[in-house]
Amino acid sequence: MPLKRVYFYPLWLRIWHWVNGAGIIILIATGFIMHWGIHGSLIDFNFAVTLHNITGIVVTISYFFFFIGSFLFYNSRYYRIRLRGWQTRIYKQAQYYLYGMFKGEKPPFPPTERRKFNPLQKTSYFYTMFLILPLIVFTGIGLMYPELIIDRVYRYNGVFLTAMVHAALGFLLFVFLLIHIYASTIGYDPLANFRSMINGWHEIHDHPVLKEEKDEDEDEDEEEDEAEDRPVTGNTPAAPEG
Amino acid sequence: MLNLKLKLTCLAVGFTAMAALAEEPLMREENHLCLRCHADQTYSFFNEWTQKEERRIMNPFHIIDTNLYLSGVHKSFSCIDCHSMDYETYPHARELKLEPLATCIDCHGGDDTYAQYHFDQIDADFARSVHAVKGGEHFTCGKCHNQHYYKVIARNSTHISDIVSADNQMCLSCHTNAVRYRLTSVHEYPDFSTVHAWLPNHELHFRSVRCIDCHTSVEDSLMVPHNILPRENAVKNCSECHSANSMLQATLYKYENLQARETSGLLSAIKQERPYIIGANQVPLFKILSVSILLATLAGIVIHALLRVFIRKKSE
Ligand code: HEC
Ligand code: HEC
Ligand code: HEC
Ligand code: HEC
Ligand code: HEC
Ligand code: HEC
Ligand code: HEC
Repeated sequence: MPLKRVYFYPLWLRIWHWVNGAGIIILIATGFIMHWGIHGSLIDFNFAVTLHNITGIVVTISYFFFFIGSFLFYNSRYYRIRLRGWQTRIYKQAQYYLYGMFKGEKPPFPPTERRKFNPLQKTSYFYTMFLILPLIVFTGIGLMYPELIIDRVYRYNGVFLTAMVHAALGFLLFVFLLIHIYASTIGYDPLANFRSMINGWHEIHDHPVLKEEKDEDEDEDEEEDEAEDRPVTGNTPAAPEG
Repeated sequence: MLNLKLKLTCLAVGFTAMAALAEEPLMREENHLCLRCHADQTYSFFNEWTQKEERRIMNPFHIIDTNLYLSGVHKSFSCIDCHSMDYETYPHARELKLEPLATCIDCHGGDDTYAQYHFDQIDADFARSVHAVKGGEHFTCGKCHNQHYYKVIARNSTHISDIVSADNQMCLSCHTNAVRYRLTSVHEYPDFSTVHAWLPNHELHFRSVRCIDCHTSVEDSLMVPHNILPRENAVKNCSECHSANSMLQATLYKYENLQARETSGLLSAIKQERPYIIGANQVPLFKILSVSILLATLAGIVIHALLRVFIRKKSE
């Protein structure tokens, strides 16, 4: 039995997540077919193009909702990165994934009500959601309406450049997706995170961990969350590792 | 008889042409006699009946564009090398309407001077095309090539877009013009856009590929294949172009005049004028790079997962 259940993922977020997930998978598959010119009796280029276009529009709209929703429901705070000590925290989390967890160490930044993501997740999600995704949406719109693209950038073919950027970003998303899916199996049991992304509830089993780690990093998180409503004052707690 | 006369004219023109070779394209002096009327929207002449000078509107189809004429291959010709001398008088004698005019093959057939163009092979290729088969005698070379303005484009132009638009214009002059279409057919005029509705964004496609790239089969010895195939044999499979071994390499992009300007490599690929063709623009370096990244990621995941399973087993 879990010690505690936290309602982590509100319904709107879960719907967005799965629509987006399915969309991205379709986009990656059709994108590969088109970009590598893969063809065969079962693969129809025309169908791939049409599917890619439609899915692209759906994902763009759903991204728009995510963006609005994030600010409306304060979801965006989970993505906020505090720069001080950031490298150290990333390093700590990476260490944990690389060998700490095999030695039976406790996760340095377990999820709590205030903190959904550990520093590595936070960083990669931030870049994916607020850098790569907007860029791929913009380049995609450009490719759908080539007349929007500047014909020549200096001596380079504008559509060609746009297409290269679009494909490279798509590839990065694919790598992200693989790691994301795999990392989701790192939980209380391999399916725990998938379950919570369906029902919204995150189960916290390991109470001692929370207790133990509290003093080390909770302050960091608290500060982050409150930073928006509180002016920076002299008595801000110091970052864990200075 | 006609042929002999023509061959002689050709010879004569050939010599004068050689003499004038290095010079600027200049309209032949004697042509101004005809162009006085045929280069303008109106013409004037002395009416012998009324004894008056009169000004009238020239039939737009009878106006010769002198710039196009001078940029064409037959710029060194005198009008009456091809047309009868009797045109020098006006009104033109009415039986001149019946004058047989030479075709390309009448002059260029069996002529080694222009062997590089393979006129005889083109003639044979054309004879097998749907146009020749269905149109019969009516469908002459001149239906696509205007003898006044004919210009060699594909093998000279350095711009793909110029080749595509000039070549497609020939076809569209009939296939989007019901009047010209009826010159050689008794059949109904099919709506051009509907026929190609299966091709997404076909207007964009027609600005980047030629009709003949889809409607002829590749002929290695010919720069421009002339055998327009029946519609059933036209290219309909997207992957013919949208794949690594795009057929366009063997058709539109084969011209050396284009390739001379490009070397391989990513930057030059982007610098090219060639449009971006989904699936056909693959950069080997990127392919290797992305496959390596992918394999490294997968390897990392597998090793990590194995370690997790392994260590859990051990601790149990
Ligand atoms: C005085 C003006 C005038 C001059 C000079 C003239 N033409 Fe014409 N030409 C015409 C007109 C007008 C027509 C339209 C048909 C008609 O009225 O006979 C015509 C028609 C023609 C046609 C088309 C005949 C047909 O019905 O298919 C040809 C070919 C032609 N001219 C060639 C020449 C040539 C070659 C010369 C020079 C040697 C020449 N013309 C000089 C006025 C002229
Ligand atoms: C290389 C041969 C050639 C030369 C040179 C030539 N013509 Fe023609 N011309 C033709 C042919 C062939 C036609 C018939 C075109 C057709 O019926 O499609 C023609 C048709 C015409 C017509 C009828 C309208 C048309 O375009 O069908 C006129 C007018 C004419 N020529 C005027 C001239 C004048 C003026 C010159 C000199 C500036 C000239 N031509 C030089 C071959 C020539
Ligand atoms: C009356 C005879 C005659 C007719 C008809 C004729 N040509 Fe020519 N053509 C010549 C002669 C002569 C030259 C050489 C002109 C020169 O060098 O200035 C020539 C030049 C050319 C050239 C240029 C070759 C080069 O490398 O410069 C091409 C291509 C050509 N003709 C194609 C055609 C086509 C296509 C047709 C039919 C639409 C045609 N010709 C009709 C006589 C003719
Ligand atoms: C259905 C239209 C059509 C017909 C009919 C046609 N051609 Fe062409 N031809 C073309 C096109 C399109 C080109 C490409 C022009 C270019 O880009 O230089 C071409 C090119 C040529 C060239 C230049 C080839 C080269 O190697 O550069 C010659 C010569 C030629 N045609 C001769 C003929 C002769 C001779 C006939 C009649 C037997 C004929 N054509 C009939 C469409 C046609
Ligand atoms: C991407 C390849 C492609 C290109 C480019 C292309 N076509 Fe087609 N075209 C086809 C195919 C395939 C068909 C047969 C369609 C069918 O059977 O449903 C066709 C059909 C046609 C037909 C037959 C109409 C009828 O029903 O009788 C004509 C005429 C035609 N094309 C002319 C052109 C012309 C002119 C151009 C250049 C502006 C052109 N095509 C460019 C692939 C192409
Ligand atoms: C002089 C006008 C004319 C020009 C120029 C012309 N066509 Fe055609 N084309 C026709 C006519 C007329 C037909 C219909 C023949 C029939 O069915 O009687 C036709 C038929 C066709 C067909 C359909 C064949 C089928 O199976 O029904 C194709 C494909 C085609 N043309 C392609 C081209 C291409 C490509 C070009 C340019 C290189 C071209 N045409 C230039 C008049 C023209
Ligand atoms: C004859 C070769 C050829 C064939 C066949 C062909 N294409 Fe294309 N396609 C091109 C070229 C060339 C371009 C680049 C056009 C440009 O950007 O100027 C292109 C561009 C495109 C684009 C991008 C248009 C845009 O809006 O940016 C799409 C989508 C596309 N093709 C889909 C298809 C589909 C689907 C098919 C099959 C039904 C197909 N093509 C068949 C040559 C071809």
